[in-house]
Amino acid sequence: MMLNLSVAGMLEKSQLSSDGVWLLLVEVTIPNAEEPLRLVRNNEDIHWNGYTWSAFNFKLGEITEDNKGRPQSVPLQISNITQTVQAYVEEYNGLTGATVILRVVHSQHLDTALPELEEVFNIQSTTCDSKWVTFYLGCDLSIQVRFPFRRVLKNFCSWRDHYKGIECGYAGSMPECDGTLQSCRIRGNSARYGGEPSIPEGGLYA
Amino acid sequence: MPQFPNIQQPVYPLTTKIKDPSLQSEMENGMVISRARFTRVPQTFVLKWTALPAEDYAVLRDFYRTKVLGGSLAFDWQYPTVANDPYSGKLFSVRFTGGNISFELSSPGRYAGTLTLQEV
Repeated sequence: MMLNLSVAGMLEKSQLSSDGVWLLLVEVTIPNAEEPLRLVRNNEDIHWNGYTWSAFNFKLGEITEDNKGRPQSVPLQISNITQTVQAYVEEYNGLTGATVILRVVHSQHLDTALPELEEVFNIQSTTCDSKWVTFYLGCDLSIQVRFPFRRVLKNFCSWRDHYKGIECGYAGSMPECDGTLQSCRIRGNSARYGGEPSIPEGGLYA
Repeated sequence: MPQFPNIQQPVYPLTTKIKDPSLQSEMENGMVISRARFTRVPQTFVLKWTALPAEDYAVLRDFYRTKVLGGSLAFDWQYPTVANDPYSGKLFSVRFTGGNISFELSSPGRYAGTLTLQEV
C-alpha cells in the first residue's frame, strides 16, 4: 500500500539537518504463530503501534531488473548471528509464502499509528548462511501496480458488470444496461457514467 | 551477566570513542544535508595497561578466553573513578571488540597491552 507522507513526515524530509531517524521496520508473519517477528533496523528497541520492535541488523537489497526490464525479487537480509530467524525458517518450510511488511516510520513521530511508507511482500525463497538469512521478496511493488486500476473506455461503461452497484449508483427499476452513454442518459444517471467520451479515437496510453 | 575482573586500573589516557550516527550528503551548491541514522549513540572505550601485574593479567586472560570467549559475550564493566564526571563508577554493558588482543611481557612480571570495549 503506497501511502502519502504525512505533513510531519514531509517537514522532516525537507529539513537540512535533523536528529530524527527514519526507521525501517520489518514484520514477518510466522505461520501458526500468534505474534509475527517485529524488527527495526536500529541500535535500540522502539515502541510503535502498541508493540515493541526489536533492534536487529537487516538490510534491504537493491531492486534489479532482468533483461526484459522486469523487476526481480528483492533480497531482504536479516542477521543470522544468533540464528533466531533461521530457527523459524527451518521449522516453517523456509517461510516461503509468508507475508513480509516493510514500513518506514520516523523516530520523533512514533505516536502516529500510520507509517510513512508501507509495502507488502511475499517470501518467494529463502537462503541461510552463518551470517545472513536472505528472504527473496516477491515484487508486489507499487511500481507494478496497475494504475489507473481499471481500463477506461471511450464508449463503454466500466460499471456495466456492476449495474446498480456502488459506482453505478442507479437505483431505478429499469432492467439491464448495455453500458452506453445513451442508456445512462435514459436512466438520468449520466453524471456517473463509467466511460470516458473525451478519450480520442484509437485510445490513449498513459 | 559476567563482571569484568577486579584488576589493576588501566593507565591514562583512557580513550572514549563516540560513534557518529549521522548521515551527511553534500549538495552541488555546497550545502550539506544531514540526519541521524540510528536513535542511539554507542561508545567504545580503549583501556591500556603498561605494567599490569602478572597475576592480574592471568585473571584478565582467563576472563577473555574462558568466561566471555573474546567478543562473544557481553559483560559489565565499571568506568574508573573520575572526579566531577557523571560516568565515574558507572556500569556499562560492553563486549570486547577490535579483533585479536595482544599483551606483551614488557618487564619482569609486568604485562603491557590494550583492550577495546564496545558498549552493547
